[in-house]
Amino acid sequence: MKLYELTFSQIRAGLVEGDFSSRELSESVLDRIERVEPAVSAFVTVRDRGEILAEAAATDARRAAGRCRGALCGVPVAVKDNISTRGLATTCGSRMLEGYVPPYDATAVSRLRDAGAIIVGKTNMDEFAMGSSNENSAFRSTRNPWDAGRVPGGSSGGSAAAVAAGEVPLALGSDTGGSVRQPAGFCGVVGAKPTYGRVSRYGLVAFASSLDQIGTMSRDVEGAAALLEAIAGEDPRDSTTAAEPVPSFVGDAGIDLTGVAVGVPDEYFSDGLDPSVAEKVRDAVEIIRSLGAKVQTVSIPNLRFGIAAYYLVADAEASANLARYDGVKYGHRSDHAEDLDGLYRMSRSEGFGAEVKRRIMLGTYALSAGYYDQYYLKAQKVRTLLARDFEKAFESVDVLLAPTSPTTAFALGERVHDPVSMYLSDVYTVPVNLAGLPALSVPCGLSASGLPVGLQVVVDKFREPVMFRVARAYERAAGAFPAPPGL
Amino acid sequence: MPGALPVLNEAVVDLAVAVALALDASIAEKAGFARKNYFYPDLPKGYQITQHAEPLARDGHLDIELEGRTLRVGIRQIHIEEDAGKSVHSEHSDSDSSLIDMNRCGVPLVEIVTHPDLRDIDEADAFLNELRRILVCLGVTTGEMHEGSLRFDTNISVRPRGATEMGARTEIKNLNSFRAVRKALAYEADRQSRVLRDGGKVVHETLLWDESRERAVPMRSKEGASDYRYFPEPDLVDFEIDARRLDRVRESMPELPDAARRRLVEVYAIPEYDAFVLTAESSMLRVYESTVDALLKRLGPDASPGAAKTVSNWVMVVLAGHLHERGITLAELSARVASRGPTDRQDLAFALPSRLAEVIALRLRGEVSEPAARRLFEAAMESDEPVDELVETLDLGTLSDEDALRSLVREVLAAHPDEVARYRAGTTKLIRFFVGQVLGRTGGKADPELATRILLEELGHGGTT
Repeated sequence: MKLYELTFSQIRAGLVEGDFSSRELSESVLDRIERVEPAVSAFVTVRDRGEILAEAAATDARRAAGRCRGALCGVPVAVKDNISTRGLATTCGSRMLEGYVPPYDATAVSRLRDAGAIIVGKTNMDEFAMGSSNENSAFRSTRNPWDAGRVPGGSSGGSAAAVAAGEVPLALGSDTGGSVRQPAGFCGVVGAKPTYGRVSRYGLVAFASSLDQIGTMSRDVEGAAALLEAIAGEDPRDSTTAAEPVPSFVGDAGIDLTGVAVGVPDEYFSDGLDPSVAEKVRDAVEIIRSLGAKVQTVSIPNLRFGIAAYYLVADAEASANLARYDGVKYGHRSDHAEDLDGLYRMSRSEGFGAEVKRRIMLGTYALSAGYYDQYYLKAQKVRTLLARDFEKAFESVDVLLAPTSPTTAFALGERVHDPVSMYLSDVYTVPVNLAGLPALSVPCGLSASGLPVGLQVVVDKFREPVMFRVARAYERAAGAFPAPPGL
Repeated sequence: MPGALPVLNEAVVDLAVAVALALDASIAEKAGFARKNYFYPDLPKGYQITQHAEPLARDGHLDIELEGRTLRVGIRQIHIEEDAGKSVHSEHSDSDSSLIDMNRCGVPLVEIVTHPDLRDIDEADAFLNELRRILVCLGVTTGEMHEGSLRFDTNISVRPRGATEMGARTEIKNLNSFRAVRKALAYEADRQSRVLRDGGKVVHETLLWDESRERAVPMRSKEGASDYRYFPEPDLVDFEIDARRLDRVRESMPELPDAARRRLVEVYAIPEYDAFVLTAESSMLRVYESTVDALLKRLGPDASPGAAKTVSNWVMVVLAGHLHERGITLAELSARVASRGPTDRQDLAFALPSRLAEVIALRLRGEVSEPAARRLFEAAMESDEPVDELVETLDLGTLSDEDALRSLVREVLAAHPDEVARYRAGTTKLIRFFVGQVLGRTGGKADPELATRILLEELGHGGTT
């Protein structure tokens, strides 16, 4: 087995045992990137090979001196291109920020550096995290490592594809309406989104502030848990972070789920769900039942209003969050403007892609005088109702199990011209963001057409440990998930 | 920067609560922020963080005394927001370029909105002055309008005498002094009146005061100015103002100018005017009261009932003049005086008052003359020598040796035979000339009263008659 193929838990053990060094691991990862990147296009920027190897060698030296304690020390990590990295371009997949180099690290990134992780590069994404396929990237469309004719999902499609293709063992993404879980499901990797307020958003370029959370991806549950544990916790620079202490997310690898109450929400298995996805998810529920969990049916009655409420709230916030790209201070500035209004109009017309413009217009409309109550306020009420649905469900169960997405990865170009069908691919992921809950997607088999299916595990606020415990037990019981063939 | 987040400065909440308490406003138990969206070059995020639906406080008032009557001005709301940058419009009005100073972006400010309760310029002026005194006293602002630490946006409308409905209003911005406020209000009242008299309509708009041309010009209209698309700021969490916070702020608040004024008149029996001046700044008030205390201790039972008034003269005239001439603040002078003395913590706040009291005591006991006392004061502020030793060092002690003074008087009279003759012929106001000559020869040390008495005696002897 090549080093780049190892899961995080194998890497952690191998580094501790001295089976290989971080430098060897990094070299293997960099070689893999060189070999498959032309077919996958997961990265916007890969850092200089020499710099990465020097950093890796430095962690090896620290390890030899006994000063490399954290689980992430010497482990290569990719970072989504909307998370600020000091001195490393952060484009958000947009022409607007092409060439923008942040002068500071996001809190999540500085915590990774402190933990000794090695940042390999920045991954491709839908522009400003708006999209479910990575086709909205201004630079290139990332391919699904399982089928180059299909999308990797989005908006963290670059991170998911990079992890699935063995280009990196761990990656950070961001999840506003499913942007970590959906691509993780499409690419057959684990993707975890924490409770809103668990991870600092400082340095995460804002899309929808009340929904955005940085999430983690890995080929195994342990990796997603360890990476999240490293970046979680209160941050004075983000007032919306919770003072809640961060327990161990990794926990132990016990397979016994006796005493865990599992709910399967009826509404997640309705008409739009692909039967072969439904079958794999139901199989997974049965495995979890066989591990000792008690399974019952529950209800999230307002699920069907989730998409509408999500696109109003998210786009309203986005319309304000993206106002700062005005051509005055940083980012793209039109060469053709003759006055101030022209500068705004032309810089934004040239710098933003079609989907971003659509969302800014939708959001602006939803906040406009006369429409605010009808749209924004009503969406906030739906949000409250959805949160209550989940609260009620969690009165009787510890975790909810559901499909991550209604389908497996769709074909490139299939939904680009039909925004509503694109939006509907998030139907099972957005309610969790609206309610501020933690959730993850873990691969639960291949569909009839040989594409990965994701099982979504949702828990109550700040109960990440039980979420990872259930996912890990399932992962062990189900056996190793295959790597994409033919790469 | 992309990815940067705002954090609430807790100190501004306490200051805003203090303002709300001072203005008797009802304070919200819970308040939050909103985004006000508009594009403008001095607004780098494209929105301003302000308070909209849930301001910190509402429904307050401020009573002001004006020509013997009390006017109650209603306060509609008090809220916290972030400052925008400062657009610096070119001095050449034909140039179409403007500069932007981003340094104050995101700096918190407190906005106070009144009801339309002010009926003329004098009322507006009196209200703004009293409000400024309160805000300076609370330490919310330095009150320096030219620095932008205190800014007024005024709204004005006119209506025909007897009309009950208010006219359309205009808002005037860019007022950098009290003088500009008065001028702009007068200008705009006049302009609106002329518009109405000519049968026109006043347009509701925002004007910029052009200081150099003393004119209000319509501001370039902002994009979508009528719809700011307010919505709750998702980057900040609501904050609570509980009873503990209110108590803490209330306890830390200084005495407000109005209360201090009444107390000074009552306790020290000084005129209203003196009390008004002394309470303009809390540092001035502290120096005054400490000086009176120190003086009374020094004089003991000898203290005359007018001692407090003497101190107020010294503080308002001599000390204020000293600061003005040197262009320094009272705080700076206090620190300087304290730094020269023994570094006793107690001394820091009391060094200046205690030295000032010593000078005044010497003067009241007649040990130095008035001009000598002034010189002694200057010296006391600029050296660390004990004040009584300074009297010796600078030779400022009153010349009260009657014989020595008498011989000096005789010298003066002998040197001015013409004046003596004119005096004796009836031009008695020349006595002041002679006193001046005598004082001049003693370098201001002679006691003027004693000198006058001797002069009258010598002139009265008639010499040759």
